[in-house]
Parts: sequence; structure tokens; C-alpha cells
Amino acid sequence: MLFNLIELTHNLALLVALSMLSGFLRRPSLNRVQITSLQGLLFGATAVIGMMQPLVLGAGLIFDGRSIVISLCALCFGPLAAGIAGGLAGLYRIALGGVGLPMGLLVIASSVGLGLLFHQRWIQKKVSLTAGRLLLFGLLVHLAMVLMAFALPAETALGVIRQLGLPVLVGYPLVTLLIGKMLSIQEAEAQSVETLRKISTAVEQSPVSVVITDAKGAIEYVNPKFTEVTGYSTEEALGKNSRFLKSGEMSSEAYRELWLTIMAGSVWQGEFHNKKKNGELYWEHASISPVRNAQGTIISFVAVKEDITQQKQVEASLRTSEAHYRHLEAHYRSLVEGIPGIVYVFSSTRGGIYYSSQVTEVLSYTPEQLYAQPLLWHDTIHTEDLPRVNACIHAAKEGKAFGVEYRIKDAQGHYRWFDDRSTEVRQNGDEVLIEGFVLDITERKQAEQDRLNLEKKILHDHRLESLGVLAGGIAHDFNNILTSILGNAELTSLRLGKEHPLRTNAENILIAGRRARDLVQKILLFSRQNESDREPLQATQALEQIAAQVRKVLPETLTLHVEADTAEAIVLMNPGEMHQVLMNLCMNGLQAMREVPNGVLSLSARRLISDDQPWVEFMVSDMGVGIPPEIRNRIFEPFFTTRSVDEGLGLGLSVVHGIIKRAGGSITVDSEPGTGTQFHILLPEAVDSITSP
Amino acid sequence: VVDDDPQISDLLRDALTGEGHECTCAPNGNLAFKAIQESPFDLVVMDLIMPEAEGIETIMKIRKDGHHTPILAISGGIPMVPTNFLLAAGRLGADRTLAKPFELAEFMRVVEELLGKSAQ
Repeated sequence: MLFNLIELTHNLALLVALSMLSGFLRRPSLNRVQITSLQGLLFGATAVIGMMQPLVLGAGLIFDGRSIVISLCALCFGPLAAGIAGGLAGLYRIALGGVGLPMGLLVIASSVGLGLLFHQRWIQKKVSLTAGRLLLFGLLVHLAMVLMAFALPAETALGVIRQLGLPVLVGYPLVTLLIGKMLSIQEAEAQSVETLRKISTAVEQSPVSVVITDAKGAIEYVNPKFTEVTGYSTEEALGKNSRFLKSGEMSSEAYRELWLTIMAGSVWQGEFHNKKKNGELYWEHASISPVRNAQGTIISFVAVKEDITQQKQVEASLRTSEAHYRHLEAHYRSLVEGIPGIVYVFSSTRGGIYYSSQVTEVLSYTPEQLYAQPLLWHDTIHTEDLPRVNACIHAAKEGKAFGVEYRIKDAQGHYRWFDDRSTEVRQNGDEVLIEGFVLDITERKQAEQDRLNLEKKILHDHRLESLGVLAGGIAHDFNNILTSILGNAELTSLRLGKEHPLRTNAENILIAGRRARDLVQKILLFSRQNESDREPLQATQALEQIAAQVRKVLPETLTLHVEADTAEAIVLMNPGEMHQVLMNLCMNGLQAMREVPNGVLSLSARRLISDDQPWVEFMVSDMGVGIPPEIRNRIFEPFFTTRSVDEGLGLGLSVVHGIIKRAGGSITVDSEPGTGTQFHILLPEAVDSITSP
Repeated sequence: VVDDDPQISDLLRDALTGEGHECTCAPNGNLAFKAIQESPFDLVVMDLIMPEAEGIETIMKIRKDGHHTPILAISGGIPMVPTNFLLAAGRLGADRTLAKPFELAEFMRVVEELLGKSAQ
């Protein structure tokens, strides 16, 4: 029994020794199939050699470690290796023959089968081969082997089991554990060599410099990038202290901080300004990590450094150009803000997106208010002008520049005139950006309007004047002609007798003649130019006299309101003319309120100072139909009337105008159709007359 | 009747003779003055603005010459211009003034009034 065990141990020791060769088969020059095949051959050969030195229990009944070798081969290297090893062992076992042949083959087969089963469950799933697992595996394989003994003739089988059962079930699993562990260490080592090779390749080919120093900073390794960057060869660098690259550009403080950090075991990151072999300075960004051994002692440092010289240069030039840009921007901004107008950017989809600060001065809106309501600008444009502005925006969308004048309401609700010109129109996808500037031309527009009004007034006055001259010239002859016409018509009418059929005709001539006479009188009144008959008139008194007369003819539906707050104010006027002026205006007012129930005719007088001169203002206002704007400028023209021929000749207001003008005053009208009309008469106050008797 | 406008002279003569008065016409102041010097008249109707010898001038001459004949000044001149002829005529010797165009009825009333005065 003991002898058997020693014999078996010899056999197994041989297997262990041969299995050691497995590690040498992992050559980097071989591919996986080649390695696996070689492993199969090695383990198959080991099994065969084992079978040559077996424990012989009888003729054709040999025991050896083939089950261990083949099962581990299948477990570690998979089907191909298992097939080769199992095949070799099987063929050799057949060649040996004998009574144990069936069992021998069955043991090979079960070893291959179990090996492959666990290869699939453990190796392929990266389950690590612990001692326990290997022991369990060995136990299962050899339990199977013991069971295979029943393939022997019954009497042999029992003898074999009795002799070898215990050694096989105890010893073989232990040897399986030993060889298996050895194989798995070899495998792990192979793996780590592979990983190292990869990392090493990565470091060698790295686009950043890698430097490894010992704990004191002496360089132990530099990668090719390092030599490329610094110009120092590997031989020159090795053994030197890493500070040999120092340029002197960096403070010792910075280095102190670096050493404190890494000696404390932390990673230091920062920038170095170093010197190359050729003296050139360069910038690098470094990350330095301490490496500790198993005991936690720092044994080396790894520095990974990236050359950032170019980046630094770009940054520097960026900084320069940024400063330049800032300067330019400030320059243009001050230009823009200095322009006596508003610079703006308008987006077709987002509304106003930029306004220069002048907008606040002009419209009393801050740019922020306008940004908050991007359509505020557009929406406050005068409705009459909006279609023209929209047409411009539309044209801009088609790339056309524009210039447009329009009115826009400021924050106080007053309209301002803008001259708006596009300076650039840009397409940004579906969006159109319009850049432009706006000039406030309100004052210019006002001046234009004033000039236009003045021209109209001069023209108007001139027309009235020339009419007066004309009237004066023809009046004498006209009166003589009318005397003749009227007189002859009167005589004829008289002499024809009441019954004569021509009597009516003669009387019609008379009526027409009288109308002509009245007309001439009015024209003359309008054109007369004497001042001789003026006298001091109390404004209050003049109003009261008129009021008394108006009351006599006032319809019941209307009221008269008189407000004379002029104290002793006196004007120099012909009393008859003053009467004529006020009466005319009052009659017009009553006429205008014919259809207005509860209308009020107001008469008032007050003192006021204008152009440093004292004036008396008379006002006659009604609540009548009003005067349409289009004829408001013409009402003072002679012969202009809105009434039918029967109602008047249209000289009333022109006469009023003439009288007031000759008295050194002025007359204006305010009227709102449907609301009423107000006539304002300004006459110079006769200050001197007050003191005279 | 002194007037440079024959239509006016004819009209006034027609009206006056129609009422039974006798009437002599003169086309200017000079001829009128001459006629007054030659024979007495009950009434002079004098236009003021005439091409030769102005009416006012003639009125002044008549009064200077010592004639007290009533004078009715008529004028189509602008009634209210600074040189108000009728006003001036009234101050310078005319008894009544009438602005042209006047109605014949009014004219005849004034004529009768002045003739009555003259008769006194």
C-alpha cells in the first residue's frame, strides 16, 4: 500500500514538473490557437509520459495522473487543448490495451467532460480559480475516476478500489489543486505581462511627456515624447534630478508647494515654465502623482506633462486681440452713443433687440423697457404712418434699404417725428436683422409747419388787402352806376302804376340794385383804412352792450353766458366797429346752434400779457356744429360763406378780420366739428388812455 | 344839378321835372358856378368828385361869392375814407349830403325839405 502510494507520488511529481512547462508556451509571437494547440500537445504528452511510468497493479491495469493532467488541461485551455490532450492519451492507452482499457478510456473521457464543464462555468465567466474550487474540481474528477473502476471485472474492481480508492480521493485532488494553482498563477502573470505591455505601449506612444522619478526626484524613466519636447535623449535624462529642466522663471515658492503636495501623497497639478536643451523656454501642464509600495511608502513619482506652449501663445494672442477688441468696442460704443440719434437693431421675428442710450432722451423709454416689450416701438407709431413703416420692414426683408419719416408717441404721450434709415439688413436664417439709425426731426418738422402756416397767412392777408384796394378803386364809379340803375328803376316803377304788367320787372331791378348797393357798402367797410374815429372803450361795457342786444334775439332753447373779468381794461376802437365785430360773431354762434338744444353762447373778456405787451382777449364761443378743418383757413376770406345766397353775402367774418387787423389786433379760431367754435380776439390794451380824461 | 355823369343828371332832371320843378344841368363845377352867377336858383344838387373843378371847391366858391342857395351834396365817393368828402362838404357849406346810391324817394324828400327852407 505504502509502496503504491510512493509509486503514485513519483508519477504525480513528474506531472507537476512537466506542467511547469506550460508557462513557457505563452509566447507573444504565437496566436491563441497555436498556443492552445501547444498546450494540448504538452498536456497530452505529459499524460502519455505519466502512463509510461505508471503504478502497475496487474497485467493491463495501470494507474497514473492522466486524469489530473487532462481535466486541468480541459478546465484551463478549453475544448481544442482538451481534444488534443485527451486524444493523445486515449490513443496511447488503446495501444497499451489490457483489462483496464475500458476504464482507462472512460477516465480520460470523464476528465475531459468535467474539465470542459467547469471551463465553461468558471474560466469563460472569469470566475477566479480559488484553492477551494480547485480542490472541489479535483474531488469531482476523481470521484468519477473511482466510479469508473466498476468498468473493470467485478473482482478486480473491488481490489482496485480498496487499494487505490483512498489515495485517489485524497492525493489526486491535492495534486489537482497544486497544478491548477500553478497554472492559474501562470495565467494571471501572463495577463499582467500583457497589461503591462499595453500600458507601456501607451506610455511610449503617448502624446504627452511621461517622467518617472524615484522618491528623491532622480529620473528613472522618460518616454519618447519627453525627448522630443526637451531635446534631451533618454540616456541624458536618466539619473538626473527632475529639476534639471528648471528655467528660473518659476518662483521657489511654487516648487515648495509642489513638493509639499506630492510628499503628502496628493496629486499636484500645475504649470511649469521650463527650459529645453537648446535653451528655448516652453510651458507645460503637469500632473504629478506619488506611487506607494505595499507598505504605503512613497517609492516614486509619475509626472504626466503636456506641452502647452502653443496654447499659451494662442491665449496670449487671444488676450491681446481681446484687449484690442475691447478697445475697439469701447471706441465704437462711444461713437454710437455720441451720434445725435438712436442706433438700433430690429429683428423681423423678435422685434427691437438693441437701442443706443439716446433713446431715453428722445422717447423717455429706457432701452430695458423697450427690450421687455420688443414691439413697443412699432406699436406706438402713429396709425397714419404705420402702413409706410410696415412697407419699409417688408422691403427690408427683401434686402432693400429704406429711409422713412414717421410719428411716434413718447412715454409722455407726445408724438415726435422720426427720420429712420436702415444702415444694414442681414439675413439670419428665417430672421431678418435690420440695423439703422433714427434722427429726431420733430423740431425741423415743427419749423416747416410754422413756415407753411406763415406763408399761408401772408398769402391770405395779401389777398384781403388787394381786394380792399380794388374795392376802393371801383366804389365811386360803381355807386354812380347804381344810383342811375336804382333811380331809373324807381321812376319806372312809380310811373308804370300799380297795375302795369311791367311794374314787377321794374321792382325786381330795384331789389337787385339794392343788393348791389349793400354789397358795395360792405366791401368798402372791409377796405376802409381810417383810424380817426377810434376812442377808448371799456371791454366790459362793450360786452354788456352786446349781451343786451343778443338777449333780445336769443331763442328760448339757448342760453347766453357773459364773463367779463377785465376790471378797467380799455381798448382803442371805433364803438360801431366793436359792436359790429362782436355782433357778427354772436350771430354766427347763434346760427351755428340753431339745431342744438340747450346750447350756450359764451362771451368773455380777460387781460393777458403776450410778447411783453398788455392785451385784452375777447372770446365768443358756441356749442354749434363747428367749422370743418378744411375750410377753417378760409372763413376770413371775403365772399366765403357756407350759407345760401339769401342768408348772407359771406362778408361778415372778412369785415371782422379787417376791423381787428386795423386795430392792431388779431383774430383766431378754434373749432371742433360737432363740439363748437371759439373765436379769440386779441386787441392791444390802451394803457395810456386810462390816465387821459 | 351838377354832375359829370350824364345818366345821373338825366335821372335827377327827370325826377325833379316829374314833380313839377324846373331843372338846369351842368357837367362840372365851373359851368355850375357861372350859371349861379347869371341867374338865381332855389337849390343846387352838387356831385363832389368830378374831373374838372371839384364839387367841394365849387361849394366853397359859391358861398364865398355870397350866395345862400341851399346846396345838396351827393357823392359816390367812399363814405368813410380819411378824406370824407360828404362830411367835408357839409362843413364847408353844403346844407345836406346824400351818399350815392340813394333812393329817389329819399332824394325827393330831402329836395322838398331844402326847397321849403329856401322858400322861407
